[in-house]
Amino acid sequence: MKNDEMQTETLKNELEALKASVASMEKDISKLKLVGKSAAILVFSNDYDRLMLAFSQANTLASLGVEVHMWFAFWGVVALKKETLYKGKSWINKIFSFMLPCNINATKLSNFQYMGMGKAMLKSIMKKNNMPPLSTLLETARDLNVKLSVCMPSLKMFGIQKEELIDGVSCKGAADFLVNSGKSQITWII
Amino acid sequence: MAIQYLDCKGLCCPMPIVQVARKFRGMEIGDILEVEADDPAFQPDIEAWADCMGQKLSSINIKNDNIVKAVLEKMQ
Repeated sequence: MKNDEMQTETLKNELEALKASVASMEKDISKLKLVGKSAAILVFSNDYDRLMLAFSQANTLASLGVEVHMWFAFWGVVALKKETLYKGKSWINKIFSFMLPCNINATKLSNFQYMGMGKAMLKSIMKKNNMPPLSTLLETARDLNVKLSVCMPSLKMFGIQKEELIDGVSCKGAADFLVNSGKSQITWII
Repeated sequence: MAIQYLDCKGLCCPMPIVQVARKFRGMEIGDILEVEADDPAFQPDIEAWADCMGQKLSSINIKNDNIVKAVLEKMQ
């Protein structure tokens, strides 16, 4: 009789240990999921191909339930331009405005640009394969609620006015990006 | 319980997943979505997406050589 009681006690303890182990494993599994998590992407590049990567990834993350914050700094601010304005700018700013791409579609490839021939070839391959162009990837990102923000000093450096940017872009600083990064499970610089 | 269809044939990664996510936004819980795609990455992508988002992947079949058909149910 005493043997039986001891066996039952042992089984009870083992069962409790198993339950605790399963609960801990379930908690670990939920940590692996992305839903409800956030991602911080610092876009530094103004290359067509690198921007394609940035927006493609942002769209995929957003589709996976992640809150995506894209912060455009330095050359990356070009991706948020819709047009170039020259009125009221100093001559140095006018020069920069002329040299930089006028909108996201005008950005260059990082490899094989060949004065535009390489980019034209790539775009024709993309069209054949039904791959959306960069401007469509940007629109998709806005539709998926990807947060777009710009670095003000970068705008000042290149003499870009807020009026030249697309709508829905907020002004954020380095501290905001870094705090977002700290809260995020994914932080990239593209 | 509505059944919706999404044709993602001809779309490259990640567009099929993006389209599925957008479609799901307008669906009610319990609605079914049938998706067809021919991108080779679609099968692992949709399995990962459904698992991550807590949605049900009721079935996934390969028909006509390279067209993958996935049936999803909105759980949340």
